[in-house]
Amino acid sequence: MRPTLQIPRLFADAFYLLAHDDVTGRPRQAPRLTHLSMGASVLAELIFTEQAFIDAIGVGIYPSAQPTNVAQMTAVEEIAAERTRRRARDWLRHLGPVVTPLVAQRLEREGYHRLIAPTRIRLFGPYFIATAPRWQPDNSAYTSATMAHLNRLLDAEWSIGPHEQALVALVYATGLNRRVFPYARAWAVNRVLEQASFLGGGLPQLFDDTRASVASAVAAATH
Amino acid sequence: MRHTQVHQSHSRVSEALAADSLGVRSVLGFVLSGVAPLLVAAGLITSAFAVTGMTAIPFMLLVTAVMLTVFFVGYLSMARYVNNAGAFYSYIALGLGRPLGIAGAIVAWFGYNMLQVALYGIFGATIAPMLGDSFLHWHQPWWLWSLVIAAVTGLLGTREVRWTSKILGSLIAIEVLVILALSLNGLVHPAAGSGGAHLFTALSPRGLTTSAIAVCGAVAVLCFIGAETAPVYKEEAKSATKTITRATLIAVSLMTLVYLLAPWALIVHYGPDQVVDTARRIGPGMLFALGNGWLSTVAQWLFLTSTFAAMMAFHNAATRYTYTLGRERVMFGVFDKTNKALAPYVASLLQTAIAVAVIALYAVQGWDPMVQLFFWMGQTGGFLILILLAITSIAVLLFFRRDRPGVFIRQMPTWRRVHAPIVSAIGLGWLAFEVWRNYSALLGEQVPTRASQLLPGFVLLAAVIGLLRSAWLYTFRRPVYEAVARDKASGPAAATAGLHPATEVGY
Repeated sequence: MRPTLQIPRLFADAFYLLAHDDVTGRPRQAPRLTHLSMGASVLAELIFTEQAFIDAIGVGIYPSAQPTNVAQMTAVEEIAAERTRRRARDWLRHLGPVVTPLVAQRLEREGYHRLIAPTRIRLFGPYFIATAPRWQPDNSAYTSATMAHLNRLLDAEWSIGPHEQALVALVYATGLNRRVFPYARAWAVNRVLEQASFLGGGLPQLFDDTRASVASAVAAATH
Repeated sequence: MRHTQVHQSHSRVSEALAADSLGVRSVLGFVLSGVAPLLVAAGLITSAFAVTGMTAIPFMLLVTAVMLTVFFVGYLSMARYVNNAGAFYSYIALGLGRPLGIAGAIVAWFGYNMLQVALYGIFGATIAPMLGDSFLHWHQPWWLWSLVIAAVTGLLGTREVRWTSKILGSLIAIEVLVILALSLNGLVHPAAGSGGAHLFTALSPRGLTTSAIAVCGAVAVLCFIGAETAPVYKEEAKSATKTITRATLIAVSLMTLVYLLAPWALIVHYGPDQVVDTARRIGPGMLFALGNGWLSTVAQWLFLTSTFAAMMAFHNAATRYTYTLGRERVMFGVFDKTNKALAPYVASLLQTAIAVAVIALYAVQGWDPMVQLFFWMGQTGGFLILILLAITSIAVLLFFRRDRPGVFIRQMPTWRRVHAPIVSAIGLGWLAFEVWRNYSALLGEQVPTRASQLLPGFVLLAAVIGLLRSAWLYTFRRPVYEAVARDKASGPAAATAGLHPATEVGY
């Protein structure tokens, strides 16, 4: 598969590109926030592909769910394996660290990224100091396309589809907006956020939970 | 897909989340690292003796601890339904409406900022003579040291420096041990001629007048500020209810124990007749003088680290408020920027700028850092928080007056949702009113001055700013207004979720 200069088809792929620097591939936010937002993006992807939903009780999986890749399958299995339904907030915390590398690997297979081998320094015996694996864009034209495309949509005030509405809403919920949409006009964004608040499948609940989880993570951080 | 996973007897997610969650001890550690026991014992309690001229401080500390425990019953009951549960204004907005919530947010912001800048005064005023008298012979003005520590606090406030909090936590444990050692030493060395006769009379409420109750109560409330932060860790805790409740109650109990012991020992050691005069003469030094030699020296240096810990705590509290208000667009949106260390660095820079500006103003004007910065600002900040506590109690009472989405009031005992909030609202409200009436006495003035007339006005100023801002948001930025402290069980999200066909079938 080849990378595209459009927004990637899968929601989490598109969000990964927004949440990471288009040149260095490093997260634009603190790792904790990146994990929360990536967890939210995978849940949103499951909702868009009609495999999961969120209601007042929590996150649920449809019996007809058919994951098409490892990231989706991991998330669906984790959610389905729970005896009781859990709130979206719990899943953001749990799924985030699990699915982030899986989404990165998905993008690697599609040709957006390449894996930078972790640096390993041998200490003694079997002990090493190793850096975490990291993915670096091959060509920033592809990794910046999603951001450019969304900025263009907001700037031109074109009608915007549910997929893009959800991307914009999640960017704002996670606080990425200052880096991703630095020049977006407030009223254009408000119009999109208003539209996003009527999306189905419990997506608005997901945006609210993401916003609250991010605020809570910042508030509870030790400085 | 492996369907067998559904039938496993335990939850992997629960285990994974629990392993990554905070237990009672961790939350307790976070809460206690934000309080400064030696600052309270040596700075606030001795000031209370000096200002009120009363010896009933231990009794009032006990009464305040009981009153705050009653307050926490309602506060923690509501915390589970509140997003951003560490901020009073979220409770006020949900219980009393958004205009008062936004006004409460601005009052809290003013309050925490005043508490923060107050500490720069006592730090500079304490360290300047200590370094001047030390072997270093560094004779520098107080404001220079205050500016240095403001810069350090600002720098650490934008970094994820876990070692700092660990070191401060360890130092606080040592502080508690030092207070215990000093207090025990004071108790076993009663005032000459008393023969230990004051051992129990020191705890009596003898001589309390209404104005003394107001002053002692205000100081006592100030002593316990920090315990209200536990719900901040609600989402990170193993249990949002049990863990937070236990941590808060243990924190208040420990603080009460330590804070009671110090004034008790001071009264027994110096005698009820001399303790007030001694406090007026040597201030915080009267606690250090309970020990001798190295213990006294260690206590004096720990007093500085204690003040620094409190600075960090109030800096972070004020930063959190600024961040949240920026995020909800009540203040400028730029304050919601976070850095790679998860720190809201723009909000943190604002706090540092405010601190530097206030220190510079005091330095230029030549105002007294102990009285006019530490005591005036500290007491006014505490007064603002006291008012917020009283209003929050009313908000809790009104929040539980009816069922809401996800809130079924019949599932909660009446004493938690009705009786406790009523008692704390009356108690704290009465205390706040008495403090207002006796503000001049609180500042230790012989005759009322302009300061005691103007400083309580900060409440009105902040509230008016908040109400005007709320009116502006309501008129021109309705979506922003409606998003302020939105109940997590209401709003369009819940409405949409409720409409969705819940056809979930497990695997």
